[in-house]
Amino acid sequence: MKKIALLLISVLMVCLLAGCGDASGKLSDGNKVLFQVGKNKVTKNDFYKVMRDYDAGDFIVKQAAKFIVNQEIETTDQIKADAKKQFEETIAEYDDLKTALEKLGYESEEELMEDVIDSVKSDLLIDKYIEDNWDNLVSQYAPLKIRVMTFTQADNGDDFKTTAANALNEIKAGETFSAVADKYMKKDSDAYKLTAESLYVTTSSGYDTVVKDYLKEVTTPGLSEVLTNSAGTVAYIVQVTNNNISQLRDDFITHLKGISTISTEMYGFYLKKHNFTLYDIDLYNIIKENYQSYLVQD
Amino acid sequence: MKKFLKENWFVAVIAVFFVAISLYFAYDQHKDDLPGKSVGGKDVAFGIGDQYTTMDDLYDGLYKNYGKSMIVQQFSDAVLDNAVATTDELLAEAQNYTDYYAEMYSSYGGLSYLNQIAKSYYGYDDFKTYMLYSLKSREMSTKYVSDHAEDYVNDEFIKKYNPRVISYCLIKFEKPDTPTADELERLKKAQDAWTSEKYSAENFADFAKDFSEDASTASSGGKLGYVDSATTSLVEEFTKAALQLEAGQVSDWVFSKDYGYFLLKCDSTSLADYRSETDFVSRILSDFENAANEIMWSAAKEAGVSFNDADIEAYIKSELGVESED
Repeated sequence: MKKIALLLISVLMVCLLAGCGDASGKLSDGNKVLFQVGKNKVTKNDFYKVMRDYDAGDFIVKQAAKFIVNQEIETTDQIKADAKKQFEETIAEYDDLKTALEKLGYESEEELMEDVIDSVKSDLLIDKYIEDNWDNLVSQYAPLKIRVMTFTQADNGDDFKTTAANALNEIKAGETFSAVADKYMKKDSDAYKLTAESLYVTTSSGYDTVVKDYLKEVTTPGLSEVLTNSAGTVAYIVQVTNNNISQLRDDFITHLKGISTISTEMYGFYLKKHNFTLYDIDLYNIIKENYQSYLVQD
Repeated sequence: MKKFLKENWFVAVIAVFFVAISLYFAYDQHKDDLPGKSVGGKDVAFGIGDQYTTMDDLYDGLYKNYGKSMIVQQFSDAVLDNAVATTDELLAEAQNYTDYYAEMYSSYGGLSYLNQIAKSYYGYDDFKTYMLYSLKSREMSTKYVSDHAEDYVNDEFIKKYNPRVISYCLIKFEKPDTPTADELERLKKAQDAWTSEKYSAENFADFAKDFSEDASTASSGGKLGYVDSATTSLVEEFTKAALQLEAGQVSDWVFSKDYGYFLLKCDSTSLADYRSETDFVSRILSDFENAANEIMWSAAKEAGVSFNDADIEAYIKSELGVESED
């Protein structure tokens, strides 16, 4: 009896541990032999692994992107018209439709048109993403319009901090920022370019930490005191000219569209929204290695 | 049961505790495992929204995108595996080439760069595997062309290419236009020896072993191998002199502004003597448009080939230029 009990417990443990592990999807006819040369059989499983390792990741992310585009962007008459124009321009590059389809790898005109429509829609997806994610983007990037004046020992002498203080007083007394900048800064310096009003976001480069820290705390347009970098070698005056997001909207959207990572962020957002999930460990690892930002499942 | 538990309560307690620990251990070990999914009895590859792509759908999609371009390579590799055994020598040669190219492309990332290329463009696990199949292809082609040389070498070929086997002796000058006294002395010594009774066309190999200053060929009697009118790897004056010789003839000393002085011998113009030469095989493969495919299909038939997919069969045969009923 004891032996039976022990045996049952062992079987239970084996059952618990066996069959567990990461999922590995299988083809329904993976053992089908595609061809045989001598004793070498090449099965669907064999060929699938070759194709998978070649670039299954690219195929999967494109399929996912196609789904997102079709879910998020309605195919309007305008989109159809734009797609038709693009389609005709594409065909015009070849001798005829048949040649174009053959060279581009499409089996039918409808298939090509479907891809062109998807392409037109994907261009519109970024606008939708910005709209859908507006509050988060504003919070993340905190756009402002600013000007920055820079004072250094090299350009302004040993008493550059005093010069900066004088410049600040002149602005407070009514001089324009640009006039004071012209007076104290070298026009051919890189820093002079920052004296022009420009859009600043939290990811903007080329600004000292002390400037960025100041801008993090700004709540209204205005002028900073003289800010000095941690080494005490550079002084700044920062003017925030506008923090009204409604007025900054167009410039901010233009800026967002220019960010190289916005497309990746966008797809990450929509993949998460639509619960993109991989159910095969090899595919999961391929996406993890080559398309890390597309991996959104828990 | 009651009696059993009463008599063995301690064992039962331990067993329950053990099972509980095992259950928790199993859960903890596997709680982060990737879960699978099936739809309609088929394993799912990935899902988004309400759309699920099964493994079968994924296979079909991948095949449509680039399956055809890859199936021919799979077929080729299967043929090569049958035709050429993976010997230790071949593996060592593949490794040597891998090391050589890894060094050559070290500024691009060396071996990892080459491995990525092999995987991305050819679907091989690594560059060494790519080299192995390249070498197998060379072996298979060399054997086939050598065995079927008469099918390729006709009067037209001979007239066009003037093929022959050449040996040579080199007296090396560092700057041939301004030779040193030592170089001139070595040349004279070789020239005097050649005109002596000791050496002649019959023992040219001995002469080359004794006097040639080209380390790559001297020890093998100066044998270069196959040369024809389309050979581009040799300096013009060398090729020109080589093509003018009859079988068994030795040239006059040929000046090369790049190397010094050559003495050439045409060892043979007979097919039997160059049919297995690497450069001859390369010439056939480059000159006869479908030679590589013919060799591949011939090896496949010899091994015995069968298809279980009509679409794949038609495509492979089309790519190899094989008649569909073959």
